[in-house]
Amino acid sequence: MKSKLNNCLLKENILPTSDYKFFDLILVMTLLMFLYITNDLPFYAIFIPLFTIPAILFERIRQSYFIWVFIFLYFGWFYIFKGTERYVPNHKYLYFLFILLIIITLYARKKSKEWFYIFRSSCQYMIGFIFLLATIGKFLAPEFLNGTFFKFTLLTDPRFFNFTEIVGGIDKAKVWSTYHEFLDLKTTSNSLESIQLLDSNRLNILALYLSYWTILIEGAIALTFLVKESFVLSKYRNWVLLIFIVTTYPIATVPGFAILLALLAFISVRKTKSEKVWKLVYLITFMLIPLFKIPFMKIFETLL
Amino acid sequence: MTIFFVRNIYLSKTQQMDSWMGGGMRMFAEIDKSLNRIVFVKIFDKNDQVHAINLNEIEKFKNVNMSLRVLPNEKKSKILQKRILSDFNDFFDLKKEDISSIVISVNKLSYNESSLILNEIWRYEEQVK
Repeated sequence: MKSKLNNCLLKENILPTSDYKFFDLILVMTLLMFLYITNDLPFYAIFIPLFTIPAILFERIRQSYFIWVFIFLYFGWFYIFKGTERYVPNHKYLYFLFILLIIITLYARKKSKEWFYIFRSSCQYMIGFIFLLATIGKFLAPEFLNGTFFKFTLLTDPRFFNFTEIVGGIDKAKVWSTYHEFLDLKTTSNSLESIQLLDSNRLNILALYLSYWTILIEGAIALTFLVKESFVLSKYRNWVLLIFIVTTYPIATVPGFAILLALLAFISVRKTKSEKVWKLVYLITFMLIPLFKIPFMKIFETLL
Repeated sequence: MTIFFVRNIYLSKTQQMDSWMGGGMRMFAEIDKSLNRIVFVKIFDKNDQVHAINLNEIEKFKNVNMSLRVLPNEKKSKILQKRILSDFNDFFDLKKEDISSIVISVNKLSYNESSLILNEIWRYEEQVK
């Protein structure tokens, strides 16, 4: 048993090439991501540091199958078997698929010289598929296409309220009043109750604009990340993703999704001189996302 | 990813699963999502009076509440019904012997001519002897 465990943890006979070192960095970033983000359940908050911290500190541990298969099983059973029983957001499924990709890569690098190219391309296609499915999903929802979804979101999601006031031209006090009615509706015992949402032409136009902007930008990410390198469109993929990040994250941030997207994009960047700067952009994005957890508004209010 | 996507379409179209859930990447498209769904438990007494509670207001049922909102089914409804009946007097000012039937319904928010209304998407009903 002891020797089997040692074999699992022993480093494979692989030369420390630049690809190997870069992949090792990815493993550290992945472990940091789990340490910071996936501790939403008490069960995870207690146990995740127990295996991520040793793996971050010791290369031999993080380069072994043992730890990744363990993480895969630890997360996987929950997302696969309990995914329709609990509130499990989509990015948690992506974590599970990404760990699977790491395990396959650890195996593939013993078999193929192209292992890193395959890993990098898989991450690129993963981004493409996320946005392709998200775009198809929006075409399957008529209420998204006619602007109703965004109108509802602008009036019931507090993250958008500043935007609703400034761009939509709706009085903020009225928006908050409607929001409280909305919260009351969610706790009513009367199933016949309803509330009236605010309405204006400017708001309807804004909702339609946001709907088609979302389809356009998500569709563009899907297209640029899924086409072959030889297509001109592929050259704009990082710009398109950056526009998405800049226009989406300041308003509607989902840190768990954003950090994985930054990591996948960081891996996807090619080794060419022109793309090198993008590695830095995505690395900074990756490092800044955990800071979203800091309650800036509360600190600001306390200082005032 | 495609498997999760197909499963998401199937379950949301046939079994009222929240389209945002299940790894289908269909988030941010429909108003209806589990966070906006409401589970009502309605007790009909022998005089045909209705006594209703909204499960969002009861902390101890938060897991089964969320589970029903994500994907309602008979198994989860029966679990909730048993738990409601076992702690009945904590929620209803009524004697257990006076219960005629218990109805568990999952409702979604719909937008209709500038109004947000509740629409029932799942119903479980059982006569109590």
